[in-house]
Amino acid sequence: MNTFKIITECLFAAVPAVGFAVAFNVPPKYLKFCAIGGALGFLVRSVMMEYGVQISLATFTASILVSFYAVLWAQKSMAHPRVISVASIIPMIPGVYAYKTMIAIVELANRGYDMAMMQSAVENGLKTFFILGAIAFGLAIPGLLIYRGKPVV
Amino acid sequence: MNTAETTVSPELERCIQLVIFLGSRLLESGAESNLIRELMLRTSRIMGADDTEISLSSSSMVLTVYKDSRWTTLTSRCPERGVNMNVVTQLQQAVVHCERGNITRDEMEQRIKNVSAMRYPLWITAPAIGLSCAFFSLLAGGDIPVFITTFIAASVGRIVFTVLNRDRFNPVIGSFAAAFICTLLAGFAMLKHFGAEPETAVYSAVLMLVPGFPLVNSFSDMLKGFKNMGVARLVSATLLTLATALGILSAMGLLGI
Repeated sequence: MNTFKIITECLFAAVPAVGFAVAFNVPPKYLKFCAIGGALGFLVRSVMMEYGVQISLATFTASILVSFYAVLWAQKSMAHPRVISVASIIPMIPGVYAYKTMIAIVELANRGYDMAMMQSAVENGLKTFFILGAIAFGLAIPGLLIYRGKPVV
Repeated sequence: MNTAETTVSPELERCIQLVIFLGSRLLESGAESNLIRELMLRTSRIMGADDTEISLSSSSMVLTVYKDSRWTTLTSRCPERGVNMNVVTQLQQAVVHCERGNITRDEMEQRIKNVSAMRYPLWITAPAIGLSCAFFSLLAGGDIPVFITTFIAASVGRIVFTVLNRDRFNPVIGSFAAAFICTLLAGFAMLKHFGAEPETAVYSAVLMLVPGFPLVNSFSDMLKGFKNMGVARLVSATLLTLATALGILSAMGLLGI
């Protein structure tokens, strides 16, 4: 297992989490929790993928963990978990797959049907779709399983 | 015995106005529907209403309050003003603190009315977003020249996005223009073969336009029983993504890559 690479990537992932938290106007005293959340989610996902788990399943697990971390934080600081959880999952957004899908679709439209391009469009498109779904469902899990019909704070 | 009264009692008016103010600020700032309903109902209970219910739509809300054997309804329009978690946090903390007896009802009212709409200034957000996208490019396997390109492209894109939104352009126009400028800058570096995989800069820089909050909120709204809000948010997220894609494609067409 490439431990050094995984740890560096986690530290890298903390930066976008904080950057997007600034864009979402999260109060300054909570920014460090976004950094921890971003690194935590990325760590869980990278370790699972290292052991051969599918990217969508790994993202789902990471997103559930980030969500529970945000709930614990929310109960301590009397705020809504979404304040930090959305910024924390930003590093896991499937930007590369979405971009490849878009390029492939445009190529298909411009140059006509082509087996390789079609394959790229379908594979990357499905990956984008499943990863986004995994993130969004994972974040909703605590509200659906534990805090049913009652507020977190 | 019954007299037909057309005026609303001052206490009820105070309650309704506070609750609708809280609700519209929350909806404008991008809070989840479930949170909006919960906080409005709790505030209304604190302010002495017997029963309350709300109905939400993407740009307006209807509030009905029952007090002293009378139903009173008020509708309010709430245009989107961009995600602002600072406002959401302040409002929620005011309500929670009052429920736990840390502050009085009047203090809560003051806190809700005077909620500060503080935003990070552009000279903080632009470099923050620039750095975020630059680290995305590192995660995607970029090198130092790509890092620099992404930083510049994303920072400039964020400035364009903020300025257009400030001037009350439609967010769709803002996303299109920001994606266009980002891709133009990153694509120019790509034409000059700046760095090993210059394409990384293009898709890392436009990641700043990912509609994260509408997307996540839309799913949890739909799962928690606010289906119309969820669909509305999904549509607005899709529109923003389409505008971004169109911006990228236009810039690529212009540069011929």
